[in-house]
Amino acid sequence: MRRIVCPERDDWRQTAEQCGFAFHTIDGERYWDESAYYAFTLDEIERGIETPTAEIDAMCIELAGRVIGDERYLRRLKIPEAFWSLIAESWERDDRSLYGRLDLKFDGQSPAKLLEYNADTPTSIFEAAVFQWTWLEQAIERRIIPARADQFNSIHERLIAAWKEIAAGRHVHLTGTTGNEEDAGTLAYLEDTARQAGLSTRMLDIEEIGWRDEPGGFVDLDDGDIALAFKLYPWEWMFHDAFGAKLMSAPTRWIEPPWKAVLSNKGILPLLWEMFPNHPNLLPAFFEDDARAAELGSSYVRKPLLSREGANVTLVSGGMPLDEQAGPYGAEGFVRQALSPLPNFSGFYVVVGSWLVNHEPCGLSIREDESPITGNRSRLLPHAIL
Amino acid sequence: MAKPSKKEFGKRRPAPAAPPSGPPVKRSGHVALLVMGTIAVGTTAYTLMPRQHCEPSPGAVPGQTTTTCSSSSSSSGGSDGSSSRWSSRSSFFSSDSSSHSSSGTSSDSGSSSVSRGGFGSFGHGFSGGG
Repeated sequence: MRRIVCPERDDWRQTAEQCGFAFHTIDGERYWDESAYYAFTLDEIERGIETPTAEIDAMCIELAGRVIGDERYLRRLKIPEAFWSLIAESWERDDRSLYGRLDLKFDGQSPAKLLEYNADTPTSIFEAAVFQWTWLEQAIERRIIPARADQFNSIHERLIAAWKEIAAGRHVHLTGTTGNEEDAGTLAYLEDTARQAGLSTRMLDIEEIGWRDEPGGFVDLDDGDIALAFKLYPWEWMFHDAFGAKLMSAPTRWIEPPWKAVLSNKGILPLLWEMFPNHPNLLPAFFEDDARAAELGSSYVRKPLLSREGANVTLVSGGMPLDEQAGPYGAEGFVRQALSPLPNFSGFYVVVGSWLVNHEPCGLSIREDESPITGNRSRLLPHAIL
Repeated sequence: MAKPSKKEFGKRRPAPAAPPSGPPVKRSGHVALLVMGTIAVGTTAYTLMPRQHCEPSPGAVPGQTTTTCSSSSSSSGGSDGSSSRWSSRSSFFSSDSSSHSSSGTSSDSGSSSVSRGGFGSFGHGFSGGG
């Protein structure tokens, strides 16, 4: 695994905007960064990332089965009791997952370590699936990278295939916070792949979803039934919203399904460690109020049970906070994960995002930052297999 | 609450992959967008565009699909794209899980007993992604 500085395509901004990637620069700072790329060997991809990703996903599925069947774990994750049956029923029905992203520590030498699982509402999939691929094709064509270069990236095809399998011809509504540029871009891309799977689709803002009393159900702006909905809006937010109380009585099926509320909770980190102790792809982790947390000593990473984009994550070393990201999370409690510093390439800390579509590992994306905590402003760089 | 029986335990562990008939699929072939590249996305685009309802044309072949989109006018429900990254919310869940709270205002759509605005209040102005 290497970081290789390379020339940028002169026209990449224009290319990005032409394909709908309008958020390549955020508040004047580049989000997409192709001034360098990360090079991997095929062995690093296959044995270092792909195989562990499948292994971690399998462990998470096994864990979900255990958590959903045991109210002690559900309480530990601070999942409101009012939604336990919603989660359990979606699990029993085998409601399908479309995608997810594992964030891994990986340096090309040591086993990949799970930092967290974005199981519910992962973004940056358009950048990973499409724009990163376009970079590879054009970078080869323009001799920026060797002609033999390849990329671990079949996300696009797998999304189309997964839509066919999961939606099985049904109409799909897609919803989320469309006023957010990144979320709107993610929704637009997923809608595009759904249409390429032959599905009819409709997008609406999460606030536009209606509730019809008789017969009870969620409806779109034309009062049409929402039977199958993809939502880029966290389950914990839906639980809290006014319509949360109606989720149980609605016939709507959701992607990601309610049981993903378990896996998007950082409380799975200590539960995975408890269930699979010393697994090479896990870091020691404990709930903060667990006496065993003392085993980590005075150096650890403190993470809220519910958090996104690194918010409210604190790196603690020798009892002192080294770095902290501000945010609104943490009221539900924290977990502590062993401090395992991210690899640093040329002064930049790197997290590998490993994508799963329909439970198949199928691509990766790289986030890079000067800070050891990866946040929503961390830059996304392309990768190649050399 | 019904608990899964023991035989259900771990049922979702993915089955071992079937031996591939050819080289492993690790790369894309041709990544093409159907409509995304022709429709700007983002706050401004979404809130100004008429809502679209898209149906693939009969007999369409994925990858070469033609899509027919019909439009309907509606008021924007998009959020305000607040520049404030964080709100002052302090907790996702109250200790009493039955007491859902919402700062959103439900509204009557004008048709019979349909209310709106019951989702989105908690994440108003924020990205739901991660």
